[in-house]
Amino acid sequence: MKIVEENLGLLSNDEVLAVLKDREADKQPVISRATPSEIQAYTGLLAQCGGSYKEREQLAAFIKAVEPFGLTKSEIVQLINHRPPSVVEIFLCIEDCEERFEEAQIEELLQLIQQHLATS
Amino acid sequence: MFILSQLEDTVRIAPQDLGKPAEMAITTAIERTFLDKVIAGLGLVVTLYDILSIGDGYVYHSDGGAHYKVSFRVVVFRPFTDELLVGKVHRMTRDGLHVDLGFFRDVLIPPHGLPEPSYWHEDDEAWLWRVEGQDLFFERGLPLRFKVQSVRFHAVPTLAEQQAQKEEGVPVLGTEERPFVPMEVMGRADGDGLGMVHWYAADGEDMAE
Repeated sequence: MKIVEENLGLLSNDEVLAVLKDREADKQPVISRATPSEIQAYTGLLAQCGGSYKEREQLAAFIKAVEPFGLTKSEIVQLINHRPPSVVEIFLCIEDCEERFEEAQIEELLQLIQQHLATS
Repeated sequence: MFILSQLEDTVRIAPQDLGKPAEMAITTAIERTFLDKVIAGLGLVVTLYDILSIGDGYVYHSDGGAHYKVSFRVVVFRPFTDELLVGKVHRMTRDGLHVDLGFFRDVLIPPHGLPEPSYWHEDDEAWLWRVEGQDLFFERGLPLRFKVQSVRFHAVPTLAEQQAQKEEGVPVLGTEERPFVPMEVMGRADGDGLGMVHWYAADGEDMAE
């Protein structure tokens, strides 16, 4: 085995869920094509996401909306994975949050998360 | 966090599977070899993303199988340092908290990664964090928020090593009392917002009142 390219890109939990669903990990183990480990990963991740995941277009809209904040890729993926509902959690996802952003900006960011990523 | 990785491997299709469409036989073979396995230095392979190319099938003398050079992409779970993760505490020992992420269970929060001052409660077999004279317990089965400190890969124990351990009388790596862990994630739960998720939920309600 050879690793051709170690890291082609980061995937958020939502994207992994979409891939797993394509692999039929959302079905019952008896009729599914997916392996038990895939089904386990799907159920585990779905529970973390609160029962439903966002499509690529919805994620793209969110990424475009947070562009002016100048966040790194991994920070954006963490925001998508955790959907921080409050300031404390946003501080955990973004490094040096206090120095980089003002309170109003953090509020705005929280609103964008609510608007784009809230599980309905 | 998950990453997408491109791999290349030579896949052998056994003679009895040569009647199947090549793509299908190769997909099954890759699933069997890579899924739910740790690649040292990379991470845990969660699922097959797609197959990029399948080379010509070579047949060697004295082997009835066909050998294909296949290039494919997989979804890999590889946490990076300082990444925020949430998982359920599934076991507590003197060594620390063992956290279950749903698809990956080899996460350890060592005692020095717990908030100061933390104590081991002998009777309850649980860790607790003493804050402002109040004892906050880490509880089994409930979500814990932590940050990744390091990821370690361990090489598969060789027979010689296992033999040496047996002679020394220490538990043999790869047996029931000392399971072999190919990838181990060390975490820490000391910091603002880290720790049991329900601690913070309760705080929020208090403030609202």
